[in-house]
Amino acid sequence: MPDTAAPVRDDAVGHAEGPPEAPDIRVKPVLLTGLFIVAFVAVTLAALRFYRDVVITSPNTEPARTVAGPALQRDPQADLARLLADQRRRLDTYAWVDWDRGIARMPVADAMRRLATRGAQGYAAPLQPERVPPLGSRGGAASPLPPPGTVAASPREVRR
Amino acid sequence: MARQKRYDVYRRADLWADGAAARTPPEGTVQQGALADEAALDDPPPVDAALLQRGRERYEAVCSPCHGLTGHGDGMVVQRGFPKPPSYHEDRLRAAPARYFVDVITHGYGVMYRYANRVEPRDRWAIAAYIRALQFSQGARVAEVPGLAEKIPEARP
Repeated sequence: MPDTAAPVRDDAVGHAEGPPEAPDIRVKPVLLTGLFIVAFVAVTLAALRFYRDVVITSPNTEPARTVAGPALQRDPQADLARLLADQRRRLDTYAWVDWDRGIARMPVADAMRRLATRGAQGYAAPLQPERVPPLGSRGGAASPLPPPGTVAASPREVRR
Repeated sequence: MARQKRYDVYRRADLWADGAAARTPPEGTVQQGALADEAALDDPPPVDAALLQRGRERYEAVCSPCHGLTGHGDGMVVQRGFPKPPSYHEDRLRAAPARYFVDVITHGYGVMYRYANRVEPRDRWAIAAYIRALQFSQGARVAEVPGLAEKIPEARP
């Protein structure tokens, strides 16, 4: 009987490990496509930048202006303390005011002590003769008070 | 108590012809104490240490926010942009009589309103005397003040 030979069974023999399958896609076109995409994006961005910098002239592209901050007091107590300290120093020290005309300042306490000895003459004007300032004269300012209705000078101009 | 029979301020009142609840005092009305105030204004108290000290205390409390502690017109209010008052150390105010300062305190001047309702007449004279002390202090003639030249530290400004 010819069919005594044992049949070949696949599961017993198993498949032999063949050589690795060759890829069926070509790598070169894929790489070229990716390269094209990168190049396209780069060229587009560069062109947009060129367009924004050179071509567009709308107001939105004007350079930002630097505006001075408002004159706010960040530390009012310290400002006041500094001002008062400076004025107290001028009120309590000896110093020359005008060397050429021989005028100096002295502490107001000293001046009060000297003035208290003069009696009724204490009210006398230090610059004789006494004269009443003319009505409407604006002491300390070069120009008279502006008439009502006109635009007042800004504080920055008025300030010393 | 919440609802009373009275006129609110600035409200309409049909009782009078002009329909206003706010009434003007009759002609010739005199404020209480006005005569005593006038007498005190006409009679300046003698300048002594107590008056000057009172003037200094009142000046620094009432006047210095605008006029500055030294009277140069550079107080804190001025630093923040309000109009600068005149300096007491210019010739115009050094030559002004003391009564001029009292009048300005009483009636106001320029942008300064009247301070008659917050500075007593005697205090106005005290402030005027202290302004004299400030003028003397900040602009003393060295030749006329004995002993001053030796106390000034530096030789030249």
